[in-house]
Amino acid sequence: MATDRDCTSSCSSCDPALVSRRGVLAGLGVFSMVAAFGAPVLLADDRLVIPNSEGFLVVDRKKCQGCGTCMMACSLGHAGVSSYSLSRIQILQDSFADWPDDVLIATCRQCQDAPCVQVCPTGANRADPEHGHVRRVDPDLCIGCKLCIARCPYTPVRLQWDHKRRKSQKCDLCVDTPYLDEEGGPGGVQACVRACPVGAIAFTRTMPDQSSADSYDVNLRGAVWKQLGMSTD
Amino acid sequence: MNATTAPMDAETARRILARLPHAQRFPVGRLVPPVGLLQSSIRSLGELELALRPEPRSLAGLNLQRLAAWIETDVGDPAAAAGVRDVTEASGSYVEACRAIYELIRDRVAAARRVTGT
Amino acid sequence: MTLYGYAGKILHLDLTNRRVAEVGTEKYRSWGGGHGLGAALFWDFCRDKTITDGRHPANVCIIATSPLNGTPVPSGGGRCEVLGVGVGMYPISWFTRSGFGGRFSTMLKHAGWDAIVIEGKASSPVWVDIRNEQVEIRDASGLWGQDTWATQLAIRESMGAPNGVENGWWDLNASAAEALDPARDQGRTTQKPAILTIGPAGENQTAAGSLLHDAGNGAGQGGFGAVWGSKNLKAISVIGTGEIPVADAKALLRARHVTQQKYVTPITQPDFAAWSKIGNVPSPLFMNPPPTDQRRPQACQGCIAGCRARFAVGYGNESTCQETAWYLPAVRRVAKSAKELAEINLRAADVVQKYGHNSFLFQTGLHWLEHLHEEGILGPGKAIHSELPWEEYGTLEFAEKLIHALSHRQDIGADLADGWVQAAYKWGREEDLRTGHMQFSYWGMPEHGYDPRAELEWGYGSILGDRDCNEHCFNIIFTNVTAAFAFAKPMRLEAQELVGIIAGKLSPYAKDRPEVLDFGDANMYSEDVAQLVRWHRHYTRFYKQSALFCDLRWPDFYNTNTPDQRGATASDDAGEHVFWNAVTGDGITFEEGIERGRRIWNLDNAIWTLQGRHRDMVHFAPYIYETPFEKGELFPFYMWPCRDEDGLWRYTDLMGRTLDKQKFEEFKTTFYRLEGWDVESGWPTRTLLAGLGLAEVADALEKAGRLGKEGP
Repeated sequence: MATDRDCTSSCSSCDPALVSRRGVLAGLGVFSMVAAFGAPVLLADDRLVIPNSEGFLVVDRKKCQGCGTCMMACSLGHAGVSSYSLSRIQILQDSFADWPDDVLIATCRQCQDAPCVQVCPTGANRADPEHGHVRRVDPDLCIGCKLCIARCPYTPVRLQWDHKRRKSQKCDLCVDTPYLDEEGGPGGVQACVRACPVGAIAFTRTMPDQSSADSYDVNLRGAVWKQLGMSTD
Repeated sequence: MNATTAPMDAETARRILARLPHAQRFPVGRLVPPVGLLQSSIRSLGELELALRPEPRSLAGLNLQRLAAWIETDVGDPAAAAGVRDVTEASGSYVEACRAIYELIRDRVAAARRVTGT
Repeated sequence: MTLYGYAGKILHLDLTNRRVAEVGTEKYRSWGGGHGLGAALFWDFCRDKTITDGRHPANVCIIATSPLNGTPVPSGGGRCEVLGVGVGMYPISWFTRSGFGGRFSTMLKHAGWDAIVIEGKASSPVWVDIRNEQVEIRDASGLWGQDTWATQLAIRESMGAPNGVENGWWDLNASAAEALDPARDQGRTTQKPAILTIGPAGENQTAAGSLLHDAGNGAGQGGFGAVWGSKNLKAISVIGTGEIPVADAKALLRARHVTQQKYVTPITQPDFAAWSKIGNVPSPLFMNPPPTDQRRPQACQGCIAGCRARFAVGYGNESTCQETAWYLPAVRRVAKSAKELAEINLRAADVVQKYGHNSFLFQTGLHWLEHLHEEGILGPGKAIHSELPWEEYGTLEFAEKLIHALSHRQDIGADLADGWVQAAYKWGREEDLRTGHMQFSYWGMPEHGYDPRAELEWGYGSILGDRDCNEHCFNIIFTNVTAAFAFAKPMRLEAQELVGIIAGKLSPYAKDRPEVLDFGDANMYSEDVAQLVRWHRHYTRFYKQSALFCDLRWPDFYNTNTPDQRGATASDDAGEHVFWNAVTGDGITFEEGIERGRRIWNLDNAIWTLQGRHRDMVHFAPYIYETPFEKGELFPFYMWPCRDEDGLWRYTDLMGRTLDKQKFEEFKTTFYRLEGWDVESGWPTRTLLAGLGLAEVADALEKAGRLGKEGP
């Protein structure tokens, strides 16, 4: 997958030299240890191993109708304003491209070994134990250094820069959504999932394959889609 | 075997596939919710087949009684005209009739193409 | 004070002097947005409101958003309104409107602008580059002559905006230093610029010139492409990274959720045959089957059920509705298969999009041209000379040659450029307007398919206004009922129940007065119907054309997805006013929105009055009075709820009648009286205008000698 930053993450498709890191940690049973204790573990070399998120968003880019309602709902739910630049889910589309390459749904992967959490100097970006270890940025602790933005290995980067408030932000599975009636987080409602008119976004507790770039893009089209005359392939 | 499935002679096949002069056109509309009613016309049974082809989002619009008369007098295929009258009478709804006429005309046009080798 | 829903500023472009200025939105707030905002801006900025051709340099064109744009109001976030004096109408090109969807209005709001006022004429072709609050008028000599798609791609490239969808964040700052400066940081976006442009049809100032955005969002009616062409304005591009404040985000999200849960058929187990406007599944509005199942539904921003598609086959993207069938009757002449029929039709849609050519003129116009050719009147060496290869009629090649000629004022395009009815007169074909061979029923515009002789509110609303109204508010009745009859299926709603539900929402003029919906012969010129037409004008002027609720999904009168069959319109949980209030904080009632629409409608009539309008010119084309709407001509029946002799409501076939010219004159008098217009002229009176807070408009009319006389 192309990236828009110098990639130093553990993503295997970006930097083969670092692919061994995850393998080593897995071999040492570090992830399972972290999962068992439910708490981050700081290794001797200052690497942070964090518990897995208890929730993930998966998407079906072939299904999306490109209406941007998810982006509006996201920014409204979090900040009370409607803004695509502040949306923690991004819909990219090109009117002059053909299906299915005309739409990309970019959501935060709640990475197992989240580089944005790793790099945060203040601990603002952390796996929140009170909310299912979702990787979220505490705006009170964020100093706007943008290191997290630089470290995200995906294109587009899954963190947003709030240029008015001078902080970064990211998908928190709607933990911090004062403008939603219901509770968010892994046990609650996600504004984008609920807002999507066609059901192109889904919440799951099962962590998608971390070694695959495409594992978060799934097929959410079923019999009804076929009845509407559209492909379910 | 009925009149529409009996072997077709070359002259009938020619008339079925020919395009009639503009003055003998038959008005056909299309109801497309929510756009409206599109006006158009047909000048051959081949065009009628396309106009009647069932599809989920729109309905062909035509006067079925006058259609039979047009097929008999202008197109010159009395067997098809009789078939149209029969299925119209037997159908429980306008759409059902259109569907039955479509199948009849589709088969008639295909037969004409086989006879003429086109 | 925060103007919730608004960006707070209006962009004023002086193309003559290539200057850019800013106007505050606050003083226009009472007009709402969209059409209301635009009409008020037109009143203030157009110095000569007597002009009757939109290509006159005094014309002012306004692009206006609504507070709801860029918010998830269901099917209320994506439309955009265009206003100004139009081109190609007959006998007068009125101050008129058009609309388009897509991403433009959302992006304009994100950039910090509520509207754009376009005044003057540039000395050479220009395009306007809006990046947040930075606005540049740039040279468009390299773009002039390019089609609408190539233009947009070229502008993207010139801005360094990425193509495709594999791109990262686009930093709008010119330098790293800007990005680091909190006062100057322009922010980032993953989105592409939203570009509105003209193609050759507009560049050559033809009546068919339209505005096009992305691949298939077109503002077709009114000839605004010609207006831009006359101003040497090729395109406006906008990219924004800002935010739209709303008064009550919680209430807004809640109302959206309620709409989805209660009023929309569930996407997991839909009722495909639901009777509803907002409650249907996403489905492209095609006139023939889509070419492939390899596709997605595609929607304007904020839409709850998209009406377009993007395909894998490389054509037809984002086209929908009429442009996917403007050429259908012709293609049927030559297509050998349904597959070929579908492909040629959709490629013909691409042609009109690229040329920026309003395909609606072919709705009945193509039929007329074919008639003229087949009758030996039009063709090489004929009375109407044309070198077009008419023997290729129905092929894609002919479609392209036809659109090319009409867009470049070549061949018959030279005469059609100023208007089709004008061309008919020039060609000596006035007779066709009597016989109905040319079904252009009002103001030089084609009849829409909802014949004025049958569906009264459509025809009356159009002729009492400025254009084919294109407002499907009540038309869903005809569609639902007629289709059910055609399939011999049970009615989801019987006539009495249906009209009762609708009438319950027609406050204030027709609340609980179902008789206003009776279009039967005995009631067709009544005060009842006049009240319906009034309600329709006022509702659409505010809720549809100012607040910008989409015509496809609103109003939602009846809805078989709900337990009581009542739709979202005017409801307490998801009505239009509920969304308006959640965004703006205005706290209006549904009726107050109707009243706002009345004010806007009356400002329009004041402008038409200055342009020279008089009741004597408010008449349909002769065929409406002289030729019956032939039974079975387009469809076997045209069903509508009417009362029978016993006063019982039944679905009745409205085909087979004409309008009576004298009775229509009386209807006009009734309508004018109800509106408070001078019944002799149709002009607004001082009492009426002052009551709407428009005393200065009355002053202008008086100065022009066109103020209506007060009634008894």
